[in-house]
Amino acid sequence: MSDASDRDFARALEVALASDSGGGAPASPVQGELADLLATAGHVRRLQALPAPLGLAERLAARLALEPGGPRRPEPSAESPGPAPKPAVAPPGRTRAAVVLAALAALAILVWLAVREESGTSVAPSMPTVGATAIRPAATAIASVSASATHTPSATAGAAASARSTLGTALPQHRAVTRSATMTPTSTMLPPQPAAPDQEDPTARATATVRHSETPPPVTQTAVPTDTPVIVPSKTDLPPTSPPASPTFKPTEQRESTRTPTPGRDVSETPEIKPTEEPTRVVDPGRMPPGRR
Amino acid sequence: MTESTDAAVVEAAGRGDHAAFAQLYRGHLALVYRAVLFQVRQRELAEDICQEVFLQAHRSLGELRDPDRFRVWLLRIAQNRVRNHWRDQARRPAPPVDREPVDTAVSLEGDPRATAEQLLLSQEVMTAMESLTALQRQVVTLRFIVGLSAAETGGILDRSENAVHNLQHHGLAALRRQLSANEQRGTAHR
Repeated sequence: MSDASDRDFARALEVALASDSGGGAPASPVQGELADLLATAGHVRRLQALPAPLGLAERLAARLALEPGGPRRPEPSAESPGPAPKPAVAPPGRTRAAVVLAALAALAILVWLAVREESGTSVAPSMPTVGATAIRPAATAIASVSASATHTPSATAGAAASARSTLGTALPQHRAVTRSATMTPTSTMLPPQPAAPDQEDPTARATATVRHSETPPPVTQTAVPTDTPVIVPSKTDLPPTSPPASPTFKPTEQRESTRTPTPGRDVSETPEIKPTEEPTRVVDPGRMPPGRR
Repeated sequence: MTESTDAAVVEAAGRGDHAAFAQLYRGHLALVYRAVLFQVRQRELAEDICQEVFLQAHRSLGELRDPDRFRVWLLRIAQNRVRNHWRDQARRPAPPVDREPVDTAVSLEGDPRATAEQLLLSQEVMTAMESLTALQRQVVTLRFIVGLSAAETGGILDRSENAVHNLQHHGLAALRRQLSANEQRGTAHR
């Protein structure tokens, strides 16, 4: 049967069905296939009297009793019922994607900071401020992005925890790079003899104290050359007696102090290493104490 | 329940009148049940979907702008639910078709004798409908078992009236062939 005749037959069937469903006899007697189809349709139409099963109303009433509130108020352009409403909890795939995104963003920020510091674009005392001011809003933004992506407190907490864990694992590397950039200039600048306490740079000392108390990797101390040309100019404009720690340094201290110390290790008991001691050890390993070689 | 009655009752139910919603429920439950049962062909599943349909209707009734279209709107919810079920089923192995869509006559409302006849007929038609495509089954169900017009059916299924005409033609033809084959098979068995 061609498409045209098929369409004609379908239309004829519809006309016959319309007159048949009206209750009366068809306008013109139909025969052949059309009559067979009308009979089939009539056969199936008898099912319109099929009742609903008993007990369904009671079950629905029980479920409706659990529903909070009644019908919702009209919303614009909401004529079609559409699919079921979205659940309050975000799908696991979306939450996972938000957490991964947050971790990647935190990692990218840290890498950017490390690269920037390694290239010597910022002087040592201002580094902690840069790190603190850059990382904290980023973490906040990441947490807020995660929160907006998931809309669940648990998912937000998960994303924030993931970001914190990423920061925790990535910061030691960042710190190692920062230390090398912080301490080496001091070694090239300060005389070999220990400086007087009133001439020490309190900012640099605080940096060394706070950072060294966390992770002291000896590799970084020995690997940095003392006459690195990149670093010497960056420290030349440092005054021999710097003013006390600037207020911008506080965020770093807060950031460092809020981190949980390594179990079994007392941070407060970590000996304070003066910056003036470091160049001595770096320049001449033979002068290092025997236990530190 | 007439359409004019429906409009007033639908508006009342939309304002949170529980008695009005109960009236809508009583007037449309069998309709929705038939629409769902002859597509999913499993009694318990059809009942579950019916409950979901009315729950969804209860939640969304305030969003219905035209109360006169309540019946089509309700059946569209049912159709969406059936579609969701099929989508879920596509990811899982399909369960066997319920050979006895309704357990016993006493589980249905109405006259037991008439109900028994309906049960036999529904089982016969449901078995024959297995040979139809999903779309043909939807059209035959909505047109002849639910009793919608071609325009209403097309509106629910997002098809043109001509498409509905074609689908019902081919669906009825396939159904007739299958019913005849089943009848001959039954005669041969006897």
